[in-house]
Amino acid sequence: MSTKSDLPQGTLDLLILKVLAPGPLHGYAVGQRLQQISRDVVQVTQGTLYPALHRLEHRQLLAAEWKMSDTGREAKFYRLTRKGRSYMEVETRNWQRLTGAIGLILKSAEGSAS
Amino acid sequence: MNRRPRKPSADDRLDLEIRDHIERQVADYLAAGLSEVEARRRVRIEFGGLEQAKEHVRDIRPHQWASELVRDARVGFRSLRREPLFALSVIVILTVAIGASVAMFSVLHTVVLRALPYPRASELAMIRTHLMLQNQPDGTSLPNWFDWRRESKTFAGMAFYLRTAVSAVTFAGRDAPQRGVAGLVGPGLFEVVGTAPLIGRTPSSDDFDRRDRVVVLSEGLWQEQFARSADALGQSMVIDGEPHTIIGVMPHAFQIPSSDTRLWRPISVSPFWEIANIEKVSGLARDGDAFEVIGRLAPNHTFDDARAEMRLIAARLRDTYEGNKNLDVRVTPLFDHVVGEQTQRGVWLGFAAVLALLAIACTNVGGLLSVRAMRRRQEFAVRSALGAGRWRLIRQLIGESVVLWAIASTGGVALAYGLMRLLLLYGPRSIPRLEQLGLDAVAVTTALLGGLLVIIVCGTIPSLVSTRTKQAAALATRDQSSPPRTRLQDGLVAAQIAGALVLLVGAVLFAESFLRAQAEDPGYAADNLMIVRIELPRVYRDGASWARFFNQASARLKTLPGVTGVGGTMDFFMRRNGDQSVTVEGRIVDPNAPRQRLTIEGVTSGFFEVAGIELVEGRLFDERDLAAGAAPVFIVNELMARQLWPGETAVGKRMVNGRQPRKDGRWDTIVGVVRNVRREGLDLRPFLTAYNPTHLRSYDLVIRATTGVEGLIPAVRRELQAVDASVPLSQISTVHSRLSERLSGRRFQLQALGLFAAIALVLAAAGLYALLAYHVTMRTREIGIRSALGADGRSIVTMVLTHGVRLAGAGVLAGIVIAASGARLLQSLLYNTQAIEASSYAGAAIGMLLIAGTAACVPAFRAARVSPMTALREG
Repeated sequence: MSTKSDLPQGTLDLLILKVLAPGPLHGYAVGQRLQQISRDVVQVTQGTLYPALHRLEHRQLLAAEWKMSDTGREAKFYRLTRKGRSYMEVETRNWQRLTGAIGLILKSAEGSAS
Repeated sequence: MNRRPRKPSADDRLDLEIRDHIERQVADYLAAGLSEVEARRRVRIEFGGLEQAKEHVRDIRPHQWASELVRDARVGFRSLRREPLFALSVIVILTVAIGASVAMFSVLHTVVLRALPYPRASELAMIRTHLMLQNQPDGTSLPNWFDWRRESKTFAGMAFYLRTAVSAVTFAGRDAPQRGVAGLVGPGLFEVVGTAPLIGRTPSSDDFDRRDRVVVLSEGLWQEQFARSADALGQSMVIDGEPHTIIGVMPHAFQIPSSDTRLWRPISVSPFWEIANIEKVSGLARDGDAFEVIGRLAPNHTFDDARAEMRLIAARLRDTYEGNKNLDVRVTPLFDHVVGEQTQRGVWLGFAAVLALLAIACTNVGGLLSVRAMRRRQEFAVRSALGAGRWRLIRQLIGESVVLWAIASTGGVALAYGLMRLLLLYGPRSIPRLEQLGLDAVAVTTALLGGLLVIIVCGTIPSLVSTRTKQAAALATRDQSSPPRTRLQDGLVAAQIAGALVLLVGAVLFAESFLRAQAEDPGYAADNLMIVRIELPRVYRDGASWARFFNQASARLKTLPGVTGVGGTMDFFMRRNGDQSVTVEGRIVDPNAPRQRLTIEGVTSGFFEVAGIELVEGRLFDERDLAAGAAPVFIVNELMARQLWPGETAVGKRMVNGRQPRKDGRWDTIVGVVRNVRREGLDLRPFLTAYNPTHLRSYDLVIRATTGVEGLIPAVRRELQAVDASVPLSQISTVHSRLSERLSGRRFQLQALGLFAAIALVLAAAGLYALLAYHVTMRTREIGIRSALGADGRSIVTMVLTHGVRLAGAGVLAGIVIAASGARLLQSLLYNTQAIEASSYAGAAIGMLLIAGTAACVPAFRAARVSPMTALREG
């Protein structure tokens, strides 16, 4: 059951929420967008993406809707719920605080070593 | 499968979503210039985890319990439909097991576990006299009851009633006179027991003092005669020719002295009351046994307290009174008196047998499920490799189990209901309270929950154990070069055989016991013999009128086609307690000698001929012995002749009824000796018996016919009514039916245990067969190679048979050990049969081995027929 993503635990959820913030997307597009924005650094396999999407849907951070898409088939579009948006904002702040702190520690550790 | 459109399931939607993803990716690759083939190939590679992804998503889905359960059940149902034979076997086995256990537990609960229906019933005690020399319980005399009650401090109350057999009465019914058991109760009995009347009241101490003719009806009689109307109170009812005023009605639950008691009267209405006035009557027989005593423990006293105290009181009475020399006292909970220890033991035994059967059935089902699981190892390994979590697999297995359980439970409860209907109709009358049997909510719930637990455990554990093997190894089992390891299954099969053997040994012991009891020679010719109970009403005042009725009836009955003889006897089955005594001329009776059980039976002339009781020496009675002024004579049975006159003839010897010679010095002569006659039930030993010729007021009219005595019953009834329509004829039966009724308890035990043992045998044999057959299937290739290499059929048969015989042998050995260690519990239920009898065990063991051998032969010979070519091709 190991996730093949190298992302730290819990960050995939945040990234998905962020990608969906501008507007609804279907699953494939979410994966593509993650890859594009991160300049191919973040590779998300289907084995982790879809469970994550469904988990977020189950937690009601996302809502899903079946809509006719550009391909002429019905596709499942995910969008952020109000709860998802506020969760995203809180988590983003937490994340920034944490990375900031980690950055400070890394920097000061470097400083004292040199 | 059904194809009608339905709402897309969550699975379908997931499928659509993923397919959409794939199509988009393919489209992107095409746009990037890849060929369609190459694009699809890449997507397939990237999507290696497709099924895995699906499984993960499935695990995340909201757990809506109900719909999940339905889904799991539906999946389970579908997968079971693919193997109908397997599903059917499991369902049948479980249905039988659940049905039998629910029925048997209901019997246990109804008969043994439920308290008696009296307020604080656990405080109620039966206080009985105990004959020390004979080591036998007995009834009590009123003087002793007075003394017990006066001296005891551990009882809050103590009351008596007359023992039943004596108190049958005739009462005026709406249409015809009826006969029924009537209680004659002492003061305070209803109060001690504590049951309140439904309506009206119970006899007061004033009723006793004034000797009022009052009667309390049973609920059943009230219903029949008065349709439950309260108007019954104050009405008059003629009982034994005397009018009585109805003062109350007792509920069904009040079953003292017995469950068939129809009415109760204060003992003061009967002549017994005179002897009860101990202060006025001196020299009263203190060792009389006409009464039974019920007590209620005083608060804060235990049965042990009461026993200790009553023992002291009995010892004091022994020292004080000559008549108490042989008398001790026993205090037992009323419950144990009503539901005898034999019955409790028998029912517990039946329950233990059914539990053993249940265990065998569960083991069997467990074996079936685990063999199936081994067949499905590949399926599970593939699914697990595709990412199906363990929990999902478990849920599927549980789903299947629940489907099996639901079907089997429904069937099982229905079966239990049917079994209980049968028990009510044909069950033994000798088990108290069995008539109250009903489908028991506790039993049903316990059995259903227990069944669910068992099937989930049996259904999932073996499968999980077999799926825990390395996935790679499981995937590789198509290569069947190594024989499957089935140690768990081997153990299960051996355990079933052990269990079946235990039941079989029990059944064999009971069969021997029953056959020995049935084969006992009753001492008379039981075929084509009918008994009519005659209770002449009060208008028949003297012996002459009794003789007149008998002679008229006898003359009329003899005109019926087929009737060859008519006689009369006090009680054909001699159900009295043998407490009478005789005094033999010229013999000094040692007062300390043990009192032999002896009964004196009044019979008419011709009785011995009609009953077919053979004369050993001397002569039988004839008309002259019954004539007025005839010299009084006796006929004794062989047992009595041998005991009282060992080594010499009893004929010509003289004796009298009672403990002393007559005042006038006259003696009665013994004129003949007849064969011993068994009392009711062939498993009861005969008493010393002396017969004297007499006409009686209440007696058994015995009618012998040439054939088909059952068909004569209506004609007999008609003829007797023609003699006097006021004589109630409530009991007409054949000797055969009475004897088999008496043995019905034993027969029932035998039938129940025999049935359980048979089912267990079939299950164990089927379990062994299934396991060996599975082995042979799995080893087809190995066997093919062996025979290709020159192994002949015989060595292959031997190989499979050895496996089977090893399992059967281990099971049989274990079974014998278990049976022998539990056998002592059976001993008291057996007649003339040792619980540890080598022949019974050997018989059961050989039978078991034969059946197991047969079950093993089928797959063994099938293995021998495996053709090397097919085996190799299939492999």
